[in-house]
Formats: sequence, C-alpha cells, structure tokens
Amino acid sequence: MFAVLKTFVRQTWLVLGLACGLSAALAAVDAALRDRIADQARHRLEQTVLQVVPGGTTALAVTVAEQTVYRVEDAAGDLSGWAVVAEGRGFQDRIRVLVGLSADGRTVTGLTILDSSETPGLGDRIQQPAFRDQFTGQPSDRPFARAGSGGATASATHPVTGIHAVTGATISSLAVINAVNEQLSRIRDDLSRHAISSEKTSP
Amino acid sequence: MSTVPQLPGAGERLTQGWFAENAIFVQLIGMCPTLAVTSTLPAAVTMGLATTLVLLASNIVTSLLRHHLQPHLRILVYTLTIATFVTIVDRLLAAFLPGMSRQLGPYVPLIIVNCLIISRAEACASRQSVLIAIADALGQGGGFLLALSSLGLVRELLGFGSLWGVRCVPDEWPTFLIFGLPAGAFLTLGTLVAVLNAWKLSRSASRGDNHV
Amino acid sequence: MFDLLFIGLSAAFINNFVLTYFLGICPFLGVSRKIDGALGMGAAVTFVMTVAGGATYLLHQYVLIPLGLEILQYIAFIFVIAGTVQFVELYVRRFYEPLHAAFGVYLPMITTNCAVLGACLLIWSRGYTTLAEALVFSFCGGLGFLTAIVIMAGLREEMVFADIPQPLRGVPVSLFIAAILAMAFTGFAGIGAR
Repeated sequence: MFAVLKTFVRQTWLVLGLACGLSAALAAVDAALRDRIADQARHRLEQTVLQVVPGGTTALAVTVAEQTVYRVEDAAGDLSGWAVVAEGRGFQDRIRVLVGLSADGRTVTGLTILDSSETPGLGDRIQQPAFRDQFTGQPSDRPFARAGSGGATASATHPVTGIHAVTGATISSLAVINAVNEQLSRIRDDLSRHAISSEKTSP
Repeated sequence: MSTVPQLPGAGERLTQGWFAENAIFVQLIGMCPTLAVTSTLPAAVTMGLATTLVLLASNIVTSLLRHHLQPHLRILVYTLTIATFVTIVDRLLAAFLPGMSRQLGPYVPLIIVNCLIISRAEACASRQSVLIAIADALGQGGGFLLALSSLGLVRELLGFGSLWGVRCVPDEWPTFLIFGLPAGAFLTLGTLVAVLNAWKLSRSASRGDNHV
Repeated sequence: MFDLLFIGLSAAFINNFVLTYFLGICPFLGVSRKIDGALGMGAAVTFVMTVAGGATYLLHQYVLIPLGLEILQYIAFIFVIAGTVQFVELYVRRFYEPLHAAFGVYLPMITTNCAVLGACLLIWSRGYTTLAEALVFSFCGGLGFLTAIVIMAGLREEMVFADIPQPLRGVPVSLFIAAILAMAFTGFAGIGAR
C-alpha cells in the first residue's frame, strides 16, 4: 500500500505541484480582476440601456413576466422608462436588439442593436441611425411592418406603423421588425401594469 | 564517437522564427486564429501579442521544469501550463481591453490549442535553458505577430480602406468587402503563402539548385 | 423543436465551423487528401465533439458555475476534451475494432483540434442554455466540419490531375479552394429567417 503510494507520488509530484501552483496563480488573478470585469460589463449594459431611454440615469434589471427587463430611473428615483431585449433570426445569425419604452410602456423611445453578425456594409446597416430612428416615438401597441411595395398595407381595422427597410438588407430589417413586434406584444401589457402598480406604491 | 546533433543557440532561435521558420508561412501551424481575427489590424496585433505572451510564459515554465518532466506526462504538463496562462491573458484582456476582448471572442481561449505553443514547448523549451527558451519564444512569437499583422494590414486596407480604424485611402477608391469576410481570409493567406513559395523557389533556382 | 432545427442548420451550414468560424483549419488542410481519410477524420471529430460538448456543458452548468469556479473553465474544458479523446480511443479499440482500424489513427490529433474546444466554448458564448441545444449544436457543427472536409478531399483528389503552378501547390491552392467554398456556403445565409 505504501509502495503504491510512493510510486504514485514519484510519478505525479510534478503535475500535482504544478497544479497547485498554477491554481494559486489563477485564484489570485481571479480575485484581482473579477470585480473589475463585472463592473465593466454592468457599466456597458447600463450605457446601452440609457442610450435607448433618454432622461434616465440608472438601470436595474428586474423580472417581469418571467423575462429580464431593465427598469430605468432618473436622478430623482422616478421611473423614466423600460428597456427590453428582443431577439430574432437575421440573415446570417441571430440579431438581438434593445428596445426602449416610455414609463407607461406605450411609446417606443429608442432602439439599438446589441448583437448582429450581418454582412458588413449590407445587413449591418441596420445599426445606422437612419434605420433605427424610425422606431423612436412610435406607439408600441401598433405592429410595425415594412413600408413600401410588398409590405403590409395599413387599413382602418389593422393599423400598422411603416418602417422602411435598409436597401439590400431586407431580411435583416425584417428580422428586427419581427423581433420587436413579438417582444412588444408579449411584454407591453405587463410593463404597463408594473408601471401603474409602482406608481401606486411610491409616495 | 557519435555526434550529437547540436540544438540551435539563443541567437539562432531568436532570428529563425521571424522568417526562415515562420510559424504560419513556413511551418503552416496555428492557422485558426490567423484567419479568424485578422479582418482588422488592431485585432490581429492584439492576438499576436497575446499569443507571444502565452508562448513566453509557457516556454519559461517548461524550461525551468525540463529536468523533471516524465515522458508520458509531459503533454499533460504543457497543457496545464498553457491553459493557465491563456486564462490569465484572457482575464487581463477582459479587464483592461474589454472592447478588444469582445471582438476577439472565443479565439483567445483557442490559443490553448494553437499547435505553435505546444510544438515550441516540445521542440525547444523542454530541452534547452531558460535563456534559449525565451529567445525561441520571442522569435517564434515575433514571427507569428508579423504574419498576423501582414494579413491584418492587407485585409483591413483592401476590405475597409482603413488602417487601425483610420481611413487612409481616397474616397473614390473601392473597398473590397470580401476581404472582411471569411472567403477573403482564405484568399489573402493563400496568396501570401504562394508569394513566399515563389520567392523561395526563385532564390533556390538562382543559386543553381536543380532540385525543383 | 424548430428552434433546435435552426440551431442545427446554423451550426452545420449557415455558420459552418470551418468556413465561417475558422475552426479545424489544420486538419481541414492537412487530412483532406483522400475522401476516405476525410470521412474518417470528420466522423471522429463529430463523435468527440458531441460527447465533449455535452460533457463540458454539464460540467460548466452544474459544477463550475454553482461553485463560482468559472476561472477554471478553459482548463476544465481542455482536460475534459483530452479525457474524452482518450476514453473514446480506448473504447473504440476495445469494442469496435473495425471502426478503430478506419479512423482510430485520427483520434489523438483531435485533442488539439480547434473545432472541439471551439464548439464547447461557443455553446456558452452563443448563450445556449439547455443540454439539448448544446448537443444539437455540437453534433451538427461536427457534421458541418465533416461536409466541408469531405468536399475539400473530393476536390483535391480531382486536382491531382491538374497542372498547378509550383508555388501554388499544396497549401495555397487548398486555401483558394476554401475561399470559393466559403463563398458558396454564404448561399445558405437567410435560411430560417422570417
């Protein structure tokens, strides 16, 4: 038994010792950098959220209807708006967008693209303000649709907000539009209820 | 009396890696990051420096332990060392260059399986002194950086018309989007390797070798 | 269900591991001279990738994250992969001798194949949250690798009869072919988009 142990140690002392030493180094690096990395990630997210909800100063992640949404408050602590993540299948890969909503959830205050792998120069022109700003100020209870030939036409019973797709990037643009529609229809009412209830509780 | 083949010394190790034994253009190893991160010059340079850093650390540690390496456990030791240093470099990048870390994405941890580092540990660091191992790391890493930078330079210039993010071609000149895409990466690397091959052939032809 | 299908399609063709993510280039250029060899390598990689993808997912999800040990992710993953390769090789050699004769020689090389570690890491960076998604992604990624390497092998078998200029022989012309393949595969983009 002791002989087996001796052989084992003679064979593996280097690996075990190295593992201990390297683990200690890793633990040190982790302890030193973990907070910094987490802060940066949080800061970056906050900056993005505040981009789509003007007038806010802080963003908090909360759970509404089993999803993570961001509650934006201004300097006085009042609710200035919400930001929700919408995701859809784009041309090359998934597209994730962040939609900013007003405090009552009724108006879109901004849109920004979080993740996209669309073709540079073509599909990724959805990131430009010319496309994104079309969503700003629009009501959130009316579905968005591609404006122009082939797009849905508005009618009295089914009003839509027309969004011009980026030339040469129809699929990418449609992906954003569909993603926004789906997410808004799913969460808008819950957000309004949340907004009203939090107004009631605050003095 | 048998002659033991002499291993190259520090000076030779330092210089061989840049051109004669360039990791990418001559040895043709470590090509995954080469193609993936070279669409812009800053990303290419950062990856080259990160790899050189890991190679340096790995070579130093391996060289310090070279007399104690068991033959059947040495790959384990190399892997452990390399994986640790790659984790450290990755965390450092995430902490101090978050934008670049996001751009490089999963290719920083893939330095672990970059054949270049393990092959240098096996070929040089496990056999020679720390000083020579450092020279080897700087030589090979420098060559790797050079190769990545040349690819990044060509791809960014032709694909986006800029260098390090600064637009530097006249507005009328076209940009060839394909160089920013995967196909362009293959094209650029293939062309550069072909040019190097052609140069080597013409050099050996002019020297009078008839082995082609 | 359709989400899983799309994940699989995306991993295999739309965002092919070799032609979009540049994973597994070394075997792609090195082992693709004959279709038999390419098939063997592709099959071995697919198998290892699927097993390793599932194993690393479980390890990260149920051990590393709960214990706050994410810093050990890369080390843990590479050792799981190395262990998987060893285990698969032993198992195949013991129980499936003909299979081992066919592609056993490629197995040791797979540990340093970027595609396997890349697949395991991409599962997390792409935000797949269930074991099913991880397995489908890994398996179909492997199939995509297999497709690319077999196509390349077929083309290179044909090229043996072509008169290629000396400087281009070997790696450069393979890279040019890969460029054309990459362009061809961009034709898959847009599948599944609504």
